[in-house]
Amino acid sequence: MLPMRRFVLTVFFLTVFFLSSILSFASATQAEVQIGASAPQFTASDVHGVNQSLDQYKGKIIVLEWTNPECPYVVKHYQTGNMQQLQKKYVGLGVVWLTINSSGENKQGNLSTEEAKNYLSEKAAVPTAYLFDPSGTIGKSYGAKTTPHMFIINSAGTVAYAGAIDDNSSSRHSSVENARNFVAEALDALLADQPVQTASTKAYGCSVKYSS
Amino acid sequence: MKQEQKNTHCFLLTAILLFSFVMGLAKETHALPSTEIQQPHVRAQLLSEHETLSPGVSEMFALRLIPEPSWHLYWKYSGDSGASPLLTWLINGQSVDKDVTWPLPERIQVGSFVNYGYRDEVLLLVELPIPQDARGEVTIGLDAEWLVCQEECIPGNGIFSLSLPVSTDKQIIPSKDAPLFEKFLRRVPTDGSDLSLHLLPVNTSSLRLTLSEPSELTESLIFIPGGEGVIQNNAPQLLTRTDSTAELILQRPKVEPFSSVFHGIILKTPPFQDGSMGKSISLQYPIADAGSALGDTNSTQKDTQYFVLILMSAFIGGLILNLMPCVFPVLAIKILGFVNKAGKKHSSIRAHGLAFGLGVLISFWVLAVLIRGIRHAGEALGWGFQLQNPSFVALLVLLMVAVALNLFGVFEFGASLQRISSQVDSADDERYLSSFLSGILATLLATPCTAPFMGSAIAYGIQVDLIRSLLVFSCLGLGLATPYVLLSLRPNLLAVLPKPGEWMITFKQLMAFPILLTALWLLWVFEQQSSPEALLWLLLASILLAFSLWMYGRFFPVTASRHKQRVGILLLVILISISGFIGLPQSEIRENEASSSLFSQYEATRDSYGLRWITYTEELMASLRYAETPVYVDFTAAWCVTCQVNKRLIFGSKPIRDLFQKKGVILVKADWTTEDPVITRALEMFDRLGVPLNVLYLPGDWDNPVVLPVVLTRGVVIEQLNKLPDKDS
Repeated sequence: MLPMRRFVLTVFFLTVFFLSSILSFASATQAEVQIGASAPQFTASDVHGVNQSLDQYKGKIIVLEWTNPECPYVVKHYQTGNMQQLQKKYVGLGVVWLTINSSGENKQGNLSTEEAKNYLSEKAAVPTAYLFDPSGTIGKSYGAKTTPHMFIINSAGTVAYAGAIDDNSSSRHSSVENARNFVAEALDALLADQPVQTASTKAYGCSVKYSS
Repeated sequence: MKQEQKNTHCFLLTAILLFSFVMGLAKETHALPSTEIQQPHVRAQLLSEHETLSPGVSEMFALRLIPEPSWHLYWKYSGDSGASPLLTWLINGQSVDKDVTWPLPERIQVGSFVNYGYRDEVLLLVELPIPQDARGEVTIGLDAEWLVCQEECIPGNGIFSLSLPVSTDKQIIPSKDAPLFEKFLRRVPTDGSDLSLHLLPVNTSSLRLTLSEPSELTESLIFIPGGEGVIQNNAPQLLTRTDSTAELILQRPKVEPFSSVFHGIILKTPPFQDGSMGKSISLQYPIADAGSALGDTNSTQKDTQYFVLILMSAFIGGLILNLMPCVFPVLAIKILGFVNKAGKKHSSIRAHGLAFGLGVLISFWVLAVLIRGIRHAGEALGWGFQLQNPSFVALLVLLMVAVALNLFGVFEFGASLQRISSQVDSADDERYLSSFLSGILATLLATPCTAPFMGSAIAYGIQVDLIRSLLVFSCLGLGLATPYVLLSLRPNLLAVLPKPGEWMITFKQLMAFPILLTALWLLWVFEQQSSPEALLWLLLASILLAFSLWMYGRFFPVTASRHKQRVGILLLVILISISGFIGLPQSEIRENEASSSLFSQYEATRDSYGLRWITYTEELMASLRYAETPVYVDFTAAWCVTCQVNKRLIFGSKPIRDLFQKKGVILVKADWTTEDPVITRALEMFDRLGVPLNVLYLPGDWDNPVVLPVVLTRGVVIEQLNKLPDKDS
């Protein structure tokens, strides 16, 4: 091969390599979701091994609940039955409730499908689906930082609420009783076609145990 | 009478039964209050500053929390996750609404989150008003809740109670914990409204916080936000210093909720004028909101102006780089190559020039993407980051040695892989690739040198968006490549130089010296980053490299047969690999968890295994006495060969290093290399007159430390360590 051609080819390959590394960095950027922005799409498998996507619930009001069964703050809401009664009430009113577990493999809270099924029946929890996100991509695309961290998507597919489940960050179980529940408030507003008063709050809880 | 008595008896009996029932219930639902509570991973105590309380004044009390090593508690704003301690104070059973005074927190990174809190013991201070009419005793109560975390979190709580006598004496008796109060009161942030601070936007997502302080007075600067939505917690805070200011680049929060005021604490080392290490500040956010259209046009204009300025500085900086001793020799030699080609085709020279320029440009792009990528992954890096890595510095040293030897003429690379110098009549017309590679080499060599003008350009280039960043780095590259490319386009300019001759060889050899100077500087940098032992190995590797290159140059000249050349190259590659293996520092620098979080205020050094050794002082030993962790003291000196052998034998073994870490042993180094009466006294305590001396202090039995034999064996050390309990048990 002529030296000139060799040179051109080498530079071409180097540039391609370089460009692809830029692109890979670009896609690795952590996004975080804004109130009013359209909710990031995702697919994940549930406790029955079936793939579910956000798309299939288009047009509904959707609640995303980030969970970690070993986090004391999640325990607070499940032991007192608070989370379950929220799920029951609003699923009954036509809201879609997705519980998402973003604990990485070998991280605290990571469950197998069997363990998750047992957990759900033990706690009598009734979400529409319990989804696994061990790679953390869904959690990171929403900016889920704590467990619990709640997001509500309205029927138009935009984020209407992001933040804490209620206003009492104590780990004491008794603190659930008189706490102001932001999720219930937001759902009530959405169901009545009213604007959500408190659209974002600081979420409290343990950090999400991402795999990296 | 009888009926009445019976009634009274019944009533009394019922009353007693009821009473005990209620008492029993009470006992079950409430924990018995105490002054000290031990919970998982944290010990908590309620303390009072004074032994007696004076009525009508505010007395100081505190909740002392001591987390286990590698666990942490939270500040009043916990950051991305976690939860702050919740405290409810009571005076004589009545709850009092008083806020805690929080000592300065640390910035704690856990994975991709950043929290603010305490890794060591902390006193959460409060001032409670003692009632004017208090007599006899006052009971101070505390209902506290906290969260202690390592990677996982464990909430804890406790009900505390402390009863203290009231005294109207003028004499105030400090309690035994008073020194602790003093210590933590000094760690409370002071008011920072007198600081000369400015907060300006860099672009729509970044802010620049400028503190006017001479650069010698700022070694490190950290901003701790006072609440949610002030800054993006997990974004690295980039510090740049000029002669009269220190600037922090911070990222605005990306999602709601947004704070309306920029408030928080600035932590600075060395401390501020008034002696405090942190000051509270509160500023208005500058108008550069993503949404507001009004303020936008003004700021985008300023933004663009500043951007153009940065591009120009980058270009000038690149130009000046050509004159730096690390770049100049290489460039000069390459340019000399033109002198010889003055007669040859202009187009070929031009093509070589452009190939070189392209090499430089692409190398700068790669550097830009690399540094942005690593910063994105959470590491706080600035320019020169490559030099913070001792392995990279070692590689550069070896590269410089090779380049210098090539310039001296000790060896040449064959026609198949010519890199740096162009020989007088080489057939390199076709080797555009070699010019391209020289471009990359020139950039690599330029990295140790930072020309003036480059600092602010690079700082800017690192934290703006990708396109702008690439433009800034392109200007840098263009600046560096311009002289050479210019000359390649107009070789006639070189007519001023004398005709090719002996002087070229002299010049080439002369150019080796600036390269050697750069290598010398890099060795000095390396020595500071690693240890004297690693430096020895690197110097050894350099000599081995020099030997291999000499051998290659002597016995496998360019004129030899292709086969012989191949053998020569193979031999060279093997020898170079061996040098690299010997010269590059081996150890990972890892945090020795036991001693890095505790006693971080004491002076310490790191050895070549990455272990942290705290420098021996009598004050240190006095505090360690009560630390309840094992302590290993190494009395040593640089001139003591037995000491070095001991250390290499014991700490060179990874299983033993891990055992030290597992048992949570704190390492203390008593360096007797130069005269030190403190250490001499300590040696006399053990009836020794010299080094080596290795002592293991056991928790709880400080007065009977284990004195290890003069010549250590692994078996003895392992035996003693295994007698200790594990750190986490």
